[in-house]
Amino acid sequence: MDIHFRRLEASDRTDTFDCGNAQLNEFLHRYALKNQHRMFGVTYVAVQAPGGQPEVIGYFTLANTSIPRQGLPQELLKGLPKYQSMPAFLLGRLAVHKNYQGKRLGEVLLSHCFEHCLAISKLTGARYLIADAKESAVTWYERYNFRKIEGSGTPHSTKMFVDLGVVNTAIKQKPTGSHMGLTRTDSAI
Amino acid sequence: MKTVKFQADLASADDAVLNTLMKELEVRSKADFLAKALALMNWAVRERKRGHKIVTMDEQGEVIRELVTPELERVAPDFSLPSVSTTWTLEEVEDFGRLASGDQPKPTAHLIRAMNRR
Repeated sequence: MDIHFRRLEASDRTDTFDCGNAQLNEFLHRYALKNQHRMFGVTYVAVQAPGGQPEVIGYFTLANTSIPRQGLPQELLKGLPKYQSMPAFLLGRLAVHKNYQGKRLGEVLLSHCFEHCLAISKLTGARYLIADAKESAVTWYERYNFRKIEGSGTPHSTKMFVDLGVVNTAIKQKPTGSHMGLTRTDSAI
Repeated sequence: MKTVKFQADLASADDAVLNTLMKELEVRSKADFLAKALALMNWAVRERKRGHKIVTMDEQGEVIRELVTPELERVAPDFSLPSVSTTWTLEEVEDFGRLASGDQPKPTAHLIRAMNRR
């Protein structure tokens, strides 16, 4: 598979994208590019171009966000200006085309997402990546060190987070063996 | 130098601005003005591509205004992510605080594989 990873571009074909989740499909078909132009979030895509025009086969959206300081322990707030919330990244959506699910493309997209966050965190100081995960995707995210945050106000999604320090540690370690078969639990990943 | 013919329809208000600017800048022809405007835009795009911000400063070096346009942000490197707000309940913030201030977990085998695949 000759797959390229980059920002979504106007010339990318998105209408053929189908991950099995209507909301995630509609976002890419109708809103991703508009949102990018309006600076509501950046969509990164995996594209293939078998017929010439690049076709999106997977995507994720990324933005800066913040965690309110009220309720956070003092040790986490050390070094932050008095009235500033804690900077963080927001992984808005992540989805893979049906035809490519189960081939670890979701994992590759997530690794790209981590790499972007690590590069940006050197400039912004943000240390945490937040994801609003659908219930069916929670187990998948947990495999990559995301942790569930209890107390969610919405019944259909769960806030999760990963410490980018853990991701940095993972880069320095060698993968062990080939026993880690990927079990698919989420239809959109 | 080889030249290319260029024709454009301008709103009358824009035409008035163009004429005023040409007088102020003492630019004699519209072609010359376009060439200078193009050079300026080209410079702005190159600077933004490098991640540099385009700002105006007062005489003391204090930033007065930053130039932000959707077009320039499109060429900005990846580290200029937009910012969005997320809603948090107090319980979520407290639980996040409890988890984040505890011991850092070890990376999972999946994460190690993902981050070492290339």
